[in-house]
Amino acid sequence: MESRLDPFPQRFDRQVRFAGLGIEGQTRLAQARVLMVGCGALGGSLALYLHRAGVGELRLVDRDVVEPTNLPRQVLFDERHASERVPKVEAAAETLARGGGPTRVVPHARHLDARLLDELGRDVDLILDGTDNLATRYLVNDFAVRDRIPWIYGGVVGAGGMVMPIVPGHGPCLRCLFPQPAPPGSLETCDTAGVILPAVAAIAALQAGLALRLLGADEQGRASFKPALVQIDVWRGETHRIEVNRQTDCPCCGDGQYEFLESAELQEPTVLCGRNTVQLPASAVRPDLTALEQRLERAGARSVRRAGPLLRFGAEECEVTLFGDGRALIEGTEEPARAQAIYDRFLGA
Amino acid sequence: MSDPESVHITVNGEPWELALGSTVAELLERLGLRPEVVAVEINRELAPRSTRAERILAEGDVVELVTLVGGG
Repeated sequence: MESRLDPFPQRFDRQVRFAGLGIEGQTRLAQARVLMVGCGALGGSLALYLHRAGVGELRLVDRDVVEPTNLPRQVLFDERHASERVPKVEAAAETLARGGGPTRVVPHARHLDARLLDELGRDVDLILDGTDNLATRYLVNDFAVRDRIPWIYGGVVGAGGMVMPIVPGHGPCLRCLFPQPAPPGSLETCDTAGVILPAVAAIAALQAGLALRLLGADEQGRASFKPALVQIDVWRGETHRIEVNRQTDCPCCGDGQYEFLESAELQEPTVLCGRNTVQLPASAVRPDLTALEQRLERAGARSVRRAGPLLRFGAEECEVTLFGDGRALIEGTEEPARAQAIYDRFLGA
Repeated sequence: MSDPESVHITVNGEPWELALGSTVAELLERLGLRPEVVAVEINRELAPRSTRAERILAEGDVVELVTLVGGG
Protein backbone atom coordinates (compact mmCIF):
# COMPACT_ATOMS: atom_id res chain seq x y z
CA MET A 1 0.00 0.00 0.00
CA GLU A 2 2.90 2.36 0.67
CA SER A 3 3.86 2.36 -2.99
CA ARG A 4 0.45 3.68 -3.99
CA LEU A 5 0.94 6.79 -1.86
CA ASP A 6 4.58 7.31 -2.68
CA PRO A 7 4.63 9.53 -5.79
CA PHE A 8 6.44 7.20 -8.15
CA PRO A 9 9.74 6.22 -6.69
CA GLN A 10 12.45 4.49 -8.68
CA ARG A 11 10.08 2.03 -10.24
CA PHE A 12 8.68 4.46 -12.82
CA ASP A 13 11.81 6.56 -13.31
CA ARG A 14 12.37 5.69 -16.98
CA GLN A 15 8.74 6.16 -17.81
CA VAL A 16 8.65 9.57 -16.10
CA ARG A 17 11.73 10.59 -18.08
CA PHE A 18 9.80 9.97 -21.28
CA ALA A 19 8.75 13.46 -22.36
CA GLY A 20 5.28 12.39 -23.52
CA LEU A 21 4.37 11.41 -19.96
CA GLY A 22 6.54 13.08 -17.33
CA ILE A 23 5.47 13.26 -13.69
CA GLU A 24 2.10 14.69 -14.66
CA GLY A 25 1.43 11.93 -17.15
CA GLN A 26 2.45 9.25 -14.69
CA THR A 27 0.17 10.84 -12.09
CA ARG A 28 -2.74 10.70 -14.55
CA LEU A 29 -1.95 7.05 -15.33
CA ALA A 30 -1.93 6.21 -11.63
CA GLN A 31 -5.44 7.63 -11.29
CA ALA A 32 -6.86 6.02 -14.42
CA ARG A 33 -9.39 3.19 -14.49
CA VAL A 34 -9.32 0.89 -17.52
CA LEU A 35 -11.81 -1.78 -18.56
CA MET A 36 -10.09 -4.70 -20.30
CA VAL A 37 -12.63 -6.53 -22.45
CA GLY A 38 -11.30 -10.04 -23.01
CA CYS A 39 -8.25 -11.43 -21.29
CA GLY A 40 -6.75 -13.92 -23.72
CA ALA A 41 -4.02 -13.19 -26.24
CA LEU A 42 -4.51 -9.47 -26.89
CA GLY A 43 -6.18 -8.86 -23.54
CA GLY A 44 -3.47 -10.61 -21.54
CA SER A 45 -0.69 -8.71 -23.28
CA LEU A 46 -2.55 -5.42 -22.89
CA ALA A 47 -3.18 -6.10 -19.21
CA LEU A 48 0.52 -6.82 -18.72
CA TYR A 49 1.61 -3.59 -20.43
CA LEU A 50 -0.85 -1.40 -18.55
CA HIS A 51 -0.11 -3.09 -15.26
CA ARG A 52 3.61 -2.54 -15.75
CA ALA A 53 2.90 1.08 -16.73
CA GLY A 54 1.24 1.64 -13.37
CA VAL A 55 -2.36 2.49 -14.26
CA GLY A 56 -4.62 2.91 -11.24
CA GLU A 57 -7.14 0.16 -11.81
CA LEU A 58 -7.53 -2.64 -14.34
CA ARG A 59 -10.91 -4.33 -14.59
CA LEU A 60 -10.52 -7.64 -16.40
CA VAL A 61 -13.54 -9.34 -17.97
CA ASP A 62 -13.39 -12.74 -19.65
CA ARG A 63 -15.77 -15.69 -19.43
CA ASP A 64 -13.32 -18.37 -20.52
CA VAL A 65 -10.88 -20.73 -18.82
CA VAL A 66 -7.22 -21.35 -19.68
CA GLU A 67 -6.57 -24.22 -22.09
CA PRO A 68 -3.31 -25.77 -23.34
CA THR A 69 -3.75 -24.29 -26.85
CA ASN A 70 -3.67 -20.79 -25.28
CA LEU A 71 -0.11 -21.07 -24.02
CA PRO A 72 1.89 -20.23 -27.18
CA ARG A 73 0.36 -16.75 -27.32
CA GLN A 74 -1.41 -15.90 -24.05
CA VAL A 75 1.52 -14.67 -22.02
CA LEU A 76 -0.07 -14.45 -18.56
CA PHE A 77 -0.89 -18.16 -18.34
CA ASP A 78 1.17 -21.23 -17.51
CA GLU A 79 0.76 -24.99 -17.65
CA ARG A 80 -0.79 -25.22 -14.21
CA HIS A 81 -3.48 -22.72 -15.21
CA ALA A 82 -4.18 -24.80 -18.31
CA SER A 83 -4.29 -28.17 -16.58
CA GLU A 84 -6.57 -26.84 -13.84
CA ARG A 85 -8.72 -24.88 -16.30
CA VAL A 86 -8.38 -21.73 -14.18
CA PRO A 87 -10.64 -18.82 -15.26
CA LYS A 88 -8.50 -16.55 -17.43
CA VAL A 89 -9.08 -13.44 -15.38
CA GLU A 90 -8.06 -15.23 -12.15
CA ALA A 91 -4.91 -16.62 -13.75
CA ALA A 92 -4.10 -13.19 -15.16
CA ALA A 93 -4.59 -11.48 -11.81
CA GLU A 94 -2.30 -14.03 -10.17
CA THR A 95 0.49 -13.53 -12.73
CA LEU A 96 0.16 -9.75 -12.71
CA ALA A 97 0.36 -9.67 -8.90
CA ARG A 98 3.82 -11.27 -9.10
CA GLY A 99 5.03 -8.14 -10.89
CA GLY A 100 4.11 -5.98 -7.92
CA GLY A 101 3.42 -2.31 -8.44
CA PRO A 102 0.54 -0.05 -7.56
CA THR A 103 -2.18 -1.26 -9.97
CA ARG A 104 -5.40 -2.61 -8.52
CA VAL A 105 -6.56 -5.61 -10.59
CA VAL A 106 -10.24 -6.56 -10.42
CA PRO A 107 -11.11 -9.84 -12.19
CA HIS A 108 -14.62 -10.62 -13.46
CA ALA A 109 -15.04 -14.17 -14.79
CA ARG A 110 -18.26 -13.38 -16.62
CA HIS A 111 -19.70 -12.95 -20.10
CA LEU A 112 -19.78 -9.24 -20.98
CA ASP A 113 -23.36 -8.42 -21.88
CA ALA A 114 -24.94 -4.97 -22.09
CA ARG A 115 -25.85 -4.98 -18.39
CA LEU A 116 -22.36 -5.90 -17.20
CA LEU A 117 -20.80 -3.41 -19.60
CA ASP A 118 -22.94 -0.68 -18.12
CA GLU A 119 -21.96 -1.73 -14.60
CA LEU A 120 -18.21 -2.01 -15.24
CA GLY A 121 -17.80 0.62 -17.93
CA ARG A 122 -19.66 3.65 -16.68
CA ASP A 123 -16.84 5.15 -14.62
CA VAL A 124 -13.75 4.11 -16.60
CA ASP A 125 -11.39 6.40 -18.49
CA LEU A 126 -10.76 3.92 -21.30
CA ILE A 127 -12.01 0.61 -22.67
CA LEU A 128 -9.45 -1.69 -24.27
CA ASP A 129 -10.49 -4.31 -26.78
CA GLY A 130 -9.00 -7.74 -26.27
CA THR A 131 -12.09 -9.67 -27.29
CA ASP A 132 -12.28 -12.38 -29.94
CA ASN A 133 -15.61 -11.51 -31.47
CA LEU A 134 -17.32 -8.73 -33.39
CA ALA A 135 -20.60 -8.81 -31.46
CA THR A 136 -18.83 -7.61 -28.31
CA ARG A 137 -16.94 -4.95 -30.25
CA TYR A 138 -20.14 -3.49 -31.74
CA LEU A 139 -21.67 -3.56 -28.27
CA VAL A 140 -18.64 -1.75 -26.84
CA ASN A 141 -18.70 0.79 -29.69
CA ASP A 142 -22.36 1.65 -29.03
CA PHE A 143 -21.71 1.98 -25.32
CA ALA A 144 -18.53 4.03 -25.72
CA VAL A 145 -20.10 6.44 -28.21
CA ARG A 146 -23.26 6.84 -26.12
CA ASP A 147 -21.35 7.48 -22.89
CA ARG A 148 -18.41 9.26 -24.59
CA ILE A 149 -15.72 6.92 -23.30
CA PRO A 150 -12.65 6.33 -25.52
CA TRP A 151 -11.97 2.79 -26.61
CA ILE A 152 -9.23 1.17 -28.68
CA TYR A 153 -10.21 -1.51 -31.17
CA GLY A 154 -7.62 -4.19 -31.83
CA GLY A 155 -8.01 -7.39 -33.81
CA VAL A 156 -5.49 -10.08 -34.66
CA VAL A 157 -5.46 -13.23 -36.78
CA GLY A 158 -2.69 -15.15 -38.52
CA ALA A 159 0.41 -12.94 -38.71
CA GLY A 160 -1.26 -9.58 -38.43
CA GLY A 161 -4.11 -7.41 -37.43
CA MET A 162 -5.26 -3.89 -37.01
CA VAL A 163 -5.86 -1.16 -34.49
CA MET A 164 -8.12 1.86 -34.41
CA PRO A 165 -8.57 4.22 -31.47
CA ILE A 166 -12.08 5.60 -31.09
CA VAL A 167 -12.36 8.84 -29.17
CA PRO A 168 -16.02 9.90 -29.22
CA GLY A 169 -16.33 13.52 -30.29
CA HIS A 170 -12.86 13.42 -31.81
CA GLY A 171 -12.78 11.35 -34.96
CA PRO A 172 -14.76 8.40 -36.26
CA CYS A 173 -16.30 5.46 -34.44
CA LEU A 174 -16.07 1.83 -35.55
CA ARG A 175 -19.37 2.07 -37.43
CA CYS A 176 -18.23 5.10 -39.47
CA LEU A 177 -15.94 2.63 -41.25
CA PHE A 178 -17.83 -0.61 -40.78
CA PRO A 179 -21.54 0.11 -40.27
CA GLN A 180 -22.44 -3.56 -39.84
CA PRO A 181 -20.47 -6.49 -38.44
CA ALA A 182 -19.51 -9.16 -40.94
CA PRO A 183 -21.93 -12.10 -40.76
CA PRO A 184 -20.99 -14.90 -38.35
CA GLY A 185 -18.59 -17.29 -40.02
CA SER A 186 -17.49 -14.94 -42.81
CA LEU A 187 -14.24 -13.81 -41.17
CA GLU A 188 -11.23 -15.88 -40.29
CA THR A 189 -10.78 -16.42 -36.55
CA CYS A 190 -7.71 -17.53 -34.62
CA ASP A 191 -9.28 -20.99 -34.50
CA THR A 192 -9.65 -21.21 -38.27
CA ALA A 193 -6.60 -19.32 -39.59
CA GLY A 194 -4.30 -19.70 -36.60
CA VAL A 195 -2.33 -16.89 -34.97
CA ILE A 196 1.23 -16.28 -33.84
CA LEU A 197 2.38 -14.43 -30.74
CA PRO A 198 4.45 -11.77 -32.59
CA ALA A 199 1.26 -10.61 -34.31
CA VAL A 200 -0.52 -10.44 -30.96
CA ALA A 201 2.40 -8.58 -29.41
CA ALA A 202 2.55 -6.03 -32.25
CA ILE A 203 -1.15 -5.25 -32.11
CA ALA A 204 -1.26 -5.17 -28.30
CA ALA A 205 1.82 -2.91 -28.19
CA LEU A 206 0.23 -0.44 -30.57
CA GLN A 207 -3.01 -0.42 -28.58
CA ALA A 208 -1.08 -0.02 -25.31
CA GLY A 209 1.01 2.87 -26.66
CA LEU A 210 -2.14 4.71 -27.71
CA ALA A 211 -3.71 3.86 -24.35
CA LEU A 212 -0.82 5.42 -22.43
CA ARG A 213 -1.14 8.50 -24.59
CA LEU A 214 -4.90 8.83 -24.15
CA LEU A 215 -4.63 8.27 -20.40
CA GLY A 216 -1.39 10.10 -19.69
CA ALA A 217 -1.28 13.00 -22.12
CA ASP A 218 -2.36 16.52 -21.15
CA GLU A 219 -5.17 18.36 -22.97
CA GLN A 220 -2.80 19.49 -25.71
CA GLY A 221 -1.42 16.00 -26.20
CA ARG A 222 -4.92 14.60 -26.48
CA ALA A 223 -6.13 17.35 -28.83
CA SER A 224 -3.22 16.81 -31.21
CA PHE A 225 -3.99 13.10 -31.36
CA LYS A 226 -4.93 12.03 -34.89
CA PRO A 227 -6.91 8.80 -35.00
CA ALA A 228 -5.99 6.37 -37.75
CA LEU A 229 -6.54 2.77 -38.66
CA VAL A 230 -3.22 0.95 -38.64
CA GLN A 231 -2.62 -2.50 -40.10
CA ILE A 232 0.43 -4.55 -39.20
CA ASP A 233 1.73 -7.78 -40.72
CA VAL A 234 4.71 -9.26 -38.90
CA TRP A 235 5.27 -12.00 -41.47
CA ARG A 236 5.64 -9.69 -44.44
CA GLY A 237 7.12 -6.94 -42.26
CA GLU A 238 4.57 -4.39 -43.43
CA THR A 239 2.52 -1.66 -41.84
CA HIS A 240 -0.20 0.44 -43.40
CA ARG A 241 -1.80 3.53 -41.93
CA ILE A 242 -5.15 4.85 -43.11
CA GLU A 243 -6.26 8.30 -42.03
CA VAL A 244 -9.89 8.07 -40.98
CA ASN A 245 -12.62 10.66 -40.74
CA ARG A 246 -15.97 10.78 -39.10
CA GLN A 247 -18.86 9.98 -41.47
CA THR A 248 -21.85 12.21 -41.00
CA ASP A 249 -24.18 9.40 -42.08
CA CYS A 250 -22.81 7.00 -39.43
CA PRO A 251 -25.75 5.18 -37.82
CA CYS A 252 -24.05 5.27 -34.41
CA CYS A 253 -22.06 8.47 -33.82
CA GLY A 254 -24.00 10.37 -36.51
CA ASP A 255 -27.60 9.32 -35.92
CA GLY A 256 -27.34 8.15 -32.32
CA GLN A 257 -28.71 4.65 -32.95
CA TYR A 258 -27.35 2.16 -30.45
CA GLU A 259 -28.99 -0.95 -31.81
CA PHE A 260 -26.32 -3.38 -30.61
CA LEU A 261 -26.64 -2.10 -27.06
CA GLU A 262 -30.43 -2.15 -27.23
CA SER A 263 -30.87 -5.52 -28.93
CA ALA A 264 -28.26 -7.09 -26.65
CA GLU A 265 -30.33 -6.01 -23.68
CA LEU A 266 -33.24 -8.03 -25.02
CA GLN A 267 -31.40 -11.05 -26.35
CA GLU A 268 -29.84 -13.13 -23.67
CA PRO A 269 -28.70 -16.73 -23.99
CA THR A 270 -31.28 -19.16 -22.57
CA VAL A 271 -30.51 -22.37 -20.75
CA LEU A 272 -32.85 -25.11 -21.93
CA CYS A 273 -33.48 -26.85 -18.64
CA GLY A 274 -33.06 -30.59 -18.49
CA ARG A 275 -31.54 -30.71 -21.97
CA ASN A 276 -27.99 -29.73 -21.07
CA THR A 277 -28.28 -27.15 -23.83
CA VAL A 278 -27.90 -23.41 -24.17
CA GLN A 279 -29.71 -21.47 -26.88
CA LEU A 280 -27.94 -18.39 -28.23
CA PRO A 281 -30.11 -15.74 -29.89
CA ALA A 282 -30.15 -14.91 -33.60
CA SER A 283 -27.30 -12.71 -34.78
CA ALA A 284 -27.76 -9.22 -36.23
CA VAL A 285 -26.54 -10.51 -39.59
CA ARG A 286 -27.31 -13.89 -41.13
CA PRO A 287 -24.42 -16.36 -41.24
CA ASP A 288 -23.04 -17.69 -44.51
CA LEU A 289 -23.56 -21.41 -43.90
CA THR A 290 -21.81 -22.56 -47.08
CA ALA A 291 -18.64 -20.62 -46.34
CA LEU A 292 -18.80 -21.77 -42.75
CA GLU A 293 -19.09 -25.43 -43.67
CA GLN A 294 -15.66 -25.38 -45.32
CA ARG A 295 -14.01 -23.20 -42.71
CA LEU A 296 -15.23 -25.26 -39.77
CA GLU A 297 -13.51 -28.37 -41.11
CA ARG A 298 -10.19 -26.56 -40.99
CA ALA A 299 -10.95 -25.13 -37.55
CA GLY A 300 -11.03 -28.55 -35.98
CA ALA A 301 -14.79 -28.89 -35.73
CA ARG A 302 -15.93 -32.52 -35.75
CA SER A 303 -18.33 -34.07 -38.25
CA VAL A 304 -19.51 -30.87 -39.88
CA ARG A 305 -22.71 -31.60 -41.75
CA ARG A 306 -25.36 -29.58 -43.51
CA ALA A 307 -28.97 -30.53 -43.00
CA GLY A 308 -30.99 -28.22 -45.21
CA PRO A 309 -31.21 -24.88 -43.44
CA LEU A 310 -29.12 -26.13 -40.51
CA LEU A 311 -25.44 -26.67 -39.96
CA ARG A 312 -24.38 -29.16 -37.28
CA PHE A 313 -20.93 -29.84 -35.92
CA GLY A 314 -19.05 -31.04 -32.88
CA ALA A 315 -16.97 -28.43 -31.07
CA GLU A 316 -14.86 -29.30 -28.05
CA GLU A 317 -17.16 -31.18 -25.68
CA CYS A 318 -20.32 -29.81 -27.29
CA GLU A 319 -22.57 -30.35 -30.29
CA VAL A 320 -23.59 -27.20 -32.14
CA THR A 321 -26.67 -26.65 -34.30
CA LEU A 322 -26.62 -23.40 -36.23
CA PHE A 323 -29.77 -22.00 -37.83
CA GLY A 324 -29.98 -19.75 -40.89
CA ASP A 325 -30.75 -16.69 -38.76
CA GLY A 326 -27.64 -17.20 -36.61
CA ARG A 327 -29.52 -18.76 -33.69
CA ALA A 328 -27.59 -21.66 -32.23
CA LEU A 329 -28.16 -24.54 -29.86
CA ILE A 330 -25.08 -25.60 -27.95
CA GLU A 331 -25.64 -29.06 -26.48
CA GLY A 332 -23.37 -30.41 -23.78
CA THR A 333 -23.30 -27.44 -21.42
CA GLU A 334 -25.65 -25.50 -19.18
CA GLU A 335 -23.23 -22.59 -18.85
CA PRO A 336 -24.25 -19.67 -21.08
CA ALA A 337 -20.70 -18.29 -20.94
CA ARG A 338 -19.25 -21.61 -22.06
CA ALA A 339 -21.76 -21.83 -24.90
CA GLN A 340 -21.01 -18.28 -26.00
CA ALA A 341 -17.26 -18.98 -25.87
CA ILE A 342 -17.66 -21.99 -28.19
CA TYR A 343 -19.94 -20.04 -30.54
CA ASP A 344 -17.47 -17.15 -30.80
CA ARG A 345 -14.48 -19.39 -31.18
CA PHE A 346 -15.88 -21.28 -34.13
CA LEU A 347 -18.20 -18.69 -35.64
CA GLY A 348 -16.19 -15.62 -34.77
CA ALA A 349 -18.94 -13.06 -34.36
CA MET B 1 -1.06 -3.05 -76.02
CA SER B 2 -3.51 -1.99 -73.43
CA ASP B 3 -7.17 -1.97 -74.21
CA PRO B 4 -8.51 1.60 -74.42
CA GLU B 5 -11.81 0.31 -73.01
CA SER B 6 -10.25 -0.79 -69.73
CA VAL B 7 -8.39 0.65 -66.75
CA HIS B 8 -5.64 -0.99 -64.74
CA ILE B 9 -5.69 -0.61 -60.98
CA THR B 10 -4.15 -2.31 -57.96
CA VAL B 11 -6.42 -3.94 -55.38
CA ASN B 12 -4.72 -5.00 -52.12
CA GLY B 13 -1.43 -5.27 -54.00
CA GLU B 14 -2.80 -7.31 -56.92
CA PRO B 15 -3.17 -5.93 -60.47
CA TRP B 16 -6.75 -5.74 -61.76
CA GLU B 17 -8.23 -4.80 -65.10
CA LEU B 18 -11.69 -3.20 -65.11
CA ALA B 19 -14.03 -1.84 -67.77
CA LEU B 20 -13.54 1.85 -68.34
CA GLY B 21 -15.94 3.81 -66.15
CA SER B 22 -16.23 1.17 -63.41
CA THR B 23 -17.24 2.54 -60.02
CA VAL B 24 -16.09 1.53 -56.54
CA ALA B 25 -19.51 -0.05 -55.93
CA GLU B 26 -19.11 -2.16 -59.07
CA LEU B 27 -15.67 -3.28 -58.02
CA LEU B 28 -17.03 -4.50 -54.67
CA GLU B 29 -19.83 -6.30 -56.45
CA ARG B 30 -17.43 -7.96 -58.86
CA LEU B 31 -15.33 -9.13 -55.92
CA GLY B 32 -18.44 -10.46 -54.20
CA LEU B 33 -17.90 -8.33 -51.11
CA ARG B 34 -20.68 -7.11 -48.87
CA PRO B 35 -20.32 -3.33 -49.08
CA GLU B 36 -21.30 -2.70 -45.46
CA VAL B 37 -18.40 -4.72 -44.05
CA VAL B 38 -15.64 -3.19 -46.20
CA ALA B 39 -13.82 0.13 -45.91
CA VAL B 40 -12.29 1.39 -49.16
CA GLU B 41 -9.10 3.38 -49.38
CA ILE B 42 -8.10 4.84 -52.76
CA ASN B 43 -4.65 6.35 -53.26
CA ARG B 44 -4.16 6.51 -49.47
CA GLU B 45 -7.42 8.30 -48.81
CA LEU B 46 -10.51 6.74 -47.35
CA ALA B 47 -13.35 6.87 -49.87
CA PRO B 48 -16.54 7.89 -48.05
CA ARG B 49 -19.24 5.25 -48.25
CA SER B 50 -21.68 7.77 -49.75
CA THR B 51 -19.45 8.31 -52.82
CA ARG B 52 -18.98 4.67 -53.82
CA ALA B 53 -21.76 4.52 -56.38
CA GLU B 54 -20.39 7.54 -58.29
CA ARG B 55 -16.65 7.29 -57.78
CA ILE B 56 -15.10 6.06 -61.04
CA LEU B 57 -11.84 4.19 -60.76
CA ALA B 58 -9.02 5.73 -62.81
CA GLU B 59 -5.98 4.21 -64.47
CA GLY B 60 -3.30 3.51 -61.88
CA ASP B 61 -5.55 3.86 -58.80
CA VAL B 62 -4.25 2.00 -55.79
CA VAL B 63 -7.17 0.51 -53.86
CA GLU B 64 -7.01 -1.07 -50.41
CA LEU B 65 -10.07 -2.96 -49.23
CA VAL B 66 -10.16 -3.35 -45.48
CA THR B 67 -12.38 -5.64 -43.44
CA LEU B 68 -12.37 -5.86 -39.67
CA VAL B 69 -10.13 -8.43 -38.08
CA GLY B 70 -12.15 -10.43 -35.60
CA GLY B 71 -9.66 -12.40 -33.51
CA GLY B 72 -8.07 -11.44 -30.26
